[in-house]
Amino acid sequence: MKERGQRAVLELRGASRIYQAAGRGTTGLYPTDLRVYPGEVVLLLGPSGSGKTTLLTLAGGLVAPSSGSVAIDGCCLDELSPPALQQLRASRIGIVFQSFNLIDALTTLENVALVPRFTGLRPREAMQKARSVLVEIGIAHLAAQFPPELSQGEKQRVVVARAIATHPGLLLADEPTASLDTENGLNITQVLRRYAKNHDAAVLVATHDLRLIEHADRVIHLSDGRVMEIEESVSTKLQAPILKQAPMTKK
Amino acid sequence: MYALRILTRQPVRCVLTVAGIALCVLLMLFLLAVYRAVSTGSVEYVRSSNADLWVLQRSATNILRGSSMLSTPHGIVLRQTEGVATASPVLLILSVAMCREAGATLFLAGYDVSTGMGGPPKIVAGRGVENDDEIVLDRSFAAKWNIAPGDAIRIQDDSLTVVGLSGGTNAFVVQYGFSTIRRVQRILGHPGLVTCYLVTVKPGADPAVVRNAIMEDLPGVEVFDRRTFLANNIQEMESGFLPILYAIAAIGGVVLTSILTLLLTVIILESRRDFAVMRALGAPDGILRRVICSQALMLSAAGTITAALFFPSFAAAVEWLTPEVSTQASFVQTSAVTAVVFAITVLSAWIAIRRLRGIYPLEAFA
Repeated sequence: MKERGQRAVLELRGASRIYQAAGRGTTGLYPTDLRVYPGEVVLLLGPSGSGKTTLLTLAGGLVAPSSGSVAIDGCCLDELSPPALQQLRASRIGIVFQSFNLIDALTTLENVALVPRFTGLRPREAMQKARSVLVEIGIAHLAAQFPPELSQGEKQRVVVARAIATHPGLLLADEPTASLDTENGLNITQVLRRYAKNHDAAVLVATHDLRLIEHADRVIHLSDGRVMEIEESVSTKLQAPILKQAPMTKK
Repeated sequence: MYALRILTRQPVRCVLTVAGIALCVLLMLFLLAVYRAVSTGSVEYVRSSNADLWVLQRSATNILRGSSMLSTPHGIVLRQTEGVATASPVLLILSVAMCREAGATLFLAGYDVSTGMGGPPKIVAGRGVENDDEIVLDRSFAAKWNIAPGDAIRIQDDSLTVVGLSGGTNAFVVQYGFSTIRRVQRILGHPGLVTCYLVTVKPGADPAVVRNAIMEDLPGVEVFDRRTFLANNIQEMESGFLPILYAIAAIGGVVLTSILTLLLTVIILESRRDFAVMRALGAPDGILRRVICSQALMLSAAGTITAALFFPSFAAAVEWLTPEVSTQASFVQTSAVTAVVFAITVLSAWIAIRRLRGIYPLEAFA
């Protein structure tokens, strides 16, 4: 249960994104306010082109907002230099990609060790950290395998392992179950939820998979770059309104 | 590890690239080795002479590409000049020798066999010239024409017996032959003609003072001390040969840069998604740049080592096929080529790294 006044891991204040193409702008996301708190799993639900991924990339500091601001742990991303932003991404943000994006030339262990290396750890320390995360996720036996040798479910677990290797406070997942069958999808969802609870991390999941709704604390429905509706899960009712945008309705 | 794995993911391409780099490095090593051999062969004749002073016709500064004509009376005056111990005549002419029924150009040096001044710097087989019907040939010339001591060659109407082979007498474009001054003057058809005199000074005499005395006695001559004359010949040799060598070496360097840059750029483009993912995950730019630099260094190192290993066999094969091409490798040369290859590697990596700027983390979400 989140309380008013608790510090948000992720905070968007009027953040919008307009893409420039062929001399004209297309709005990917209209000005949005959003806070995600520690231990919370928030689902971004909507069809393709609804702005889910745009919101995710804004939250990850991968693109700068066209207006408004994005803050991670109270630190406004606009104020960071490019190297500081890279360091923040490596140490405090984990990303789970829809298409896995594992590096085929590296083993599972080396893939997972990448992010700890990016934070400045020595290779040996990064490998140790990666090993412990593989054990935590239950895929230590895949350490020496290369991505092409893994099943879809295994790949996604490795991607999650890589995303949480530095125990980031914010985990962003883009369609994490899109390429998985029901059982593997459920497993990954549970891993993400467990991570949020065990590590008090905020998890933001972009998906169009309705099966995930029951595992989320909040569901944000997006359409055409706008937040249409916020739905709180039956298990977790938040005390305060934490997302505002017009037009929107709240159940 | 990533850098190496990416390279070896396409083993054939990797091997071809290393081979290309090795060939470029081999070319540079070979050119330097040829240069060293030529520079030695061209001036060894001057370097190894025991003359204190070289006397030539006015305006002639060297024997490689200078024209000097003196006469026997000059020698008489020289020997009477105060401080002069000996004055040995040398006649240098370009001549055509008939070897195995074919004509071959020879830089024929006629010298005074009684003093030995102006003779071959080193006899590597047989013996030196003693009589007018004998000749000593440069060993590469002899190898090229398959001539050995005991064989005879014809120059104009004269038959000369090869009595020895000399070393340090291959000037690349032409090789030396040595006979008596009388025979060479006869071949030229001017018995009294001399190219230059090699002068030794008496013990205790100052060569600079003797030089001035000679110039007073013989106003129409140039007199050089050994060091100056050697420097003149080296400069002459370098001005004629070095530009060609630099041009070929520069082409090798450009080819090497192109090969490396092309491969690194292709690798960056092929691994574009990997780089985008790493950027999205927070990879510092330095790490991505290091991957490219590592690949460039690995390829260059492999190419350079391959070239260094193959160089002795390559040089031996070239010398066997074309004996007049001599090579002399040295540690300094190899180090210089390695330094140049390193600089080219850094340049290629720098050019390729610029491609990274166009890779954005958002591409990982595409």
